[in-house]
Amino acid sequence: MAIALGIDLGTTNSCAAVATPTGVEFILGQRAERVHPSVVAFPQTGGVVVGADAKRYRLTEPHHVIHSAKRFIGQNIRAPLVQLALTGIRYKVTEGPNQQPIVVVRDRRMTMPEISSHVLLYLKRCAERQLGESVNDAVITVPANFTDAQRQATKEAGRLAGLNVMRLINEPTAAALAYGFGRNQDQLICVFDFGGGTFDVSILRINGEVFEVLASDGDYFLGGDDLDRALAEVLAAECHRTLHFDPRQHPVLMMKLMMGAEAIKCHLSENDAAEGEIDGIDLPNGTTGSLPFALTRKQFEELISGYVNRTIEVTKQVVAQAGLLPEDISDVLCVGGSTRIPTVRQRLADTFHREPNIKINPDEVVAQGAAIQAGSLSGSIISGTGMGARDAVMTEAHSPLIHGGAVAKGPLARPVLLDVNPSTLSIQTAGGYAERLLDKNSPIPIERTRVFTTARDNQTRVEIDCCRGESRRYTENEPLGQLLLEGLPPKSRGDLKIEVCFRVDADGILHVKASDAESGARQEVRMQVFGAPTGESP
Amino acid sequence: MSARTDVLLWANRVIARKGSAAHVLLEVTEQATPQQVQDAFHKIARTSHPDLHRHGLSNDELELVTSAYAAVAGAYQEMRMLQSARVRAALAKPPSDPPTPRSGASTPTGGARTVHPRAGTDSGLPPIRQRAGTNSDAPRGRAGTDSDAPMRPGNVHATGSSPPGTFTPEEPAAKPHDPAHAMSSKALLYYRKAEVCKKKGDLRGAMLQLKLACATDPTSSFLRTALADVETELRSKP
Repeated sequence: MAIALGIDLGTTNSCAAVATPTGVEFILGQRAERVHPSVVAFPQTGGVVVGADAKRYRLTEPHHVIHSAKRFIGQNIRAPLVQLALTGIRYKVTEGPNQQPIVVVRDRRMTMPEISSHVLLYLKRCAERQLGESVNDAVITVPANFTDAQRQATKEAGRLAGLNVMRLINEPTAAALAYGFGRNQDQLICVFDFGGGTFDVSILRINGEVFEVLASDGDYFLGGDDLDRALAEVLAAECHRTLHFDPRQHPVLMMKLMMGAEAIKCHLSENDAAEGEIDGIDLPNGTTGSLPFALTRKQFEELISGYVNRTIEVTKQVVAQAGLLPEDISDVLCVGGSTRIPTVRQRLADTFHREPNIKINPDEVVAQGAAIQAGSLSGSIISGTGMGARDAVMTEAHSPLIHGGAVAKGPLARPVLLDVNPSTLSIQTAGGYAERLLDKNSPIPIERTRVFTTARDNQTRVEIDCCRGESRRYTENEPLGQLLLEGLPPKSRGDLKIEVCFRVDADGILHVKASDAESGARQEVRMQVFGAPTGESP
Repeated sequence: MSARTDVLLWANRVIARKGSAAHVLLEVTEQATPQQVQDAFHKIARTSHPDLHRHGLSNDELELVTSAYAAVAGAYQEMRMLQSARVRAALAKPPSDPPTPRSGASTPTGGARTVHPRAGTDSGLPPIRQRAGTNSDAPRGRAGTDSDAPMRPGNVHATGSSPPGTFTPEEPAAKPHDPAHAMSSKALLYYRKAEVCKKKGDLRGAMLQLKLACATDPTSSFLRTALADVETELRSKP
């Protein structure tokens, strides 16, 4: 049976795993690490370096180290949030065809999917080395609120890495799958996924082997990186005050402060105060200075409270969208590194009136879920004896299922994931309104057809503008693309019946069909969106 | 291979019924409770989800099963929206009827109740109306809280026992919101001012206040809808 890899392609870190009959086996890096930084370096010496090794070039060659590519994948470079994110990076990004962001490293122009494909290829090679077999199939996870373009671009990255992407699944859903697979219970859970670059909340009902997402929402520009940046800004201001030198114009120094901030953040999750020095700060007069700092956990919590408030607000909204009260939720899963911050856990406990579940590993659970789904889709786990045997030997790479104890005897039923569409999809109608075809949080795959008509007499062509977003005004939503239906028989307005069919497939990608029942004219497209890969070289 | 035959029979049955009412596709009665609808959908997913048949079926057959499944998912969503609209309508009814504490997925609620909310406005404020659908055919789930259901913005302090006044009409939530929940407290201040302006007939003033509210809390779809409504009203007047 072919091996299928489950990959958690993260903003800061990635993780990959395969499902085996006894549990999940993680793909290890060169130093036996389970978690691989999503960093790609193009060092002066040539070649491409990925993972922990690439991270080391951050200080020496910040312009040649590409990190946080996930923030730009499938994005329109002109979007305001993207422009904001661009101020936080040290490598060069320009506008390419179709308004997609292009990374420029030493005259090499690369699309964002190309950058991500280096990370995927690295994981694929590690897996092949570890398993001694070629690996071609994969399930890749994406944030639940990723748009159509971001999903298409992620699939493209998989294709460029030589992987057959069997499915894109949402990260919170993958975490829920790892948590609930084999438990055979009926419960309502909340997955709070606060990672390096993105934030997602999903409410799921786990009913035996059925995992139904009831509601999901989030923010793909909110994560641990933002917390680091907030702290780095404070350090920079401190540097300006004590050393009379503003480091904000100096990429190398800011990178150094960012790394310092990250270390301080992690330290403050374990300790009440952090005190020390960041040294090796090159001052313009040629000397090297050091920046002392002293920060208590309380101060740090105040600094990030705005971000944390936003996550809690979204969480409350999602619970309401699912038609539930916080008390109905029987378990809250903490996923993503940022949930290690004590104040985040405290706020979650206050919201749900119960301690969040921190028994699972927040960095690895998503890859674990992806591996289970990959095993299920490729058919390799149903033929086995069932996963999660308790007597599985613990090795560096192997971990039994999270709930090894509750595993049923004999082969397990294959899990069924019922995921949802993250935002409302509409088309433009007369007067500039957006008429909804598919609602936010509808189950996918889904198909819906509605009949529209012409607004003018003798109209022979209609343009169907598609958009995503919650507003009832077309212009306030994010445009997705246009469909043109031509050669319609001239008739008086209102007489023509045009069927528009929206279909969102299991990967969350939209397909639009439009047809005129009478003349038989029909058009079918996969939305071509701004920022999506075009297939042309940049 | 009975699983294969079963799923193909089911898919053909669904395709043949395509275009009929949602409950027909889900094979439940029209009066089914939310719980029954959810269970019916889970039952279908357990046996007929296309992912479970990747290996047993030919490509054409898989395509058939996928489109049948997608149609049923659409029907499920339609029924859910219809039901949450009913629940909201029932909840909007004055408290003489003991209000259901909560609604939605986990609570079975009287599915067939379609109670039209009282059209009056307790506070004497003119209701900010939800704009009626722009297209000829009525979309799903407008049953109970139809477009003529007024949102009662005066009722912002509605909590617990008193009937929740209004909802964000955009969200598929079955749980009602009052404006205090739909926006931040700062935005609520502007919203209240907008209400006062609207009461005086000063639509421009109301629009300005709502714009300020939107700027303070850009995530609130409630505010955006309210703003769009005021703008529409303004345009319709000379």
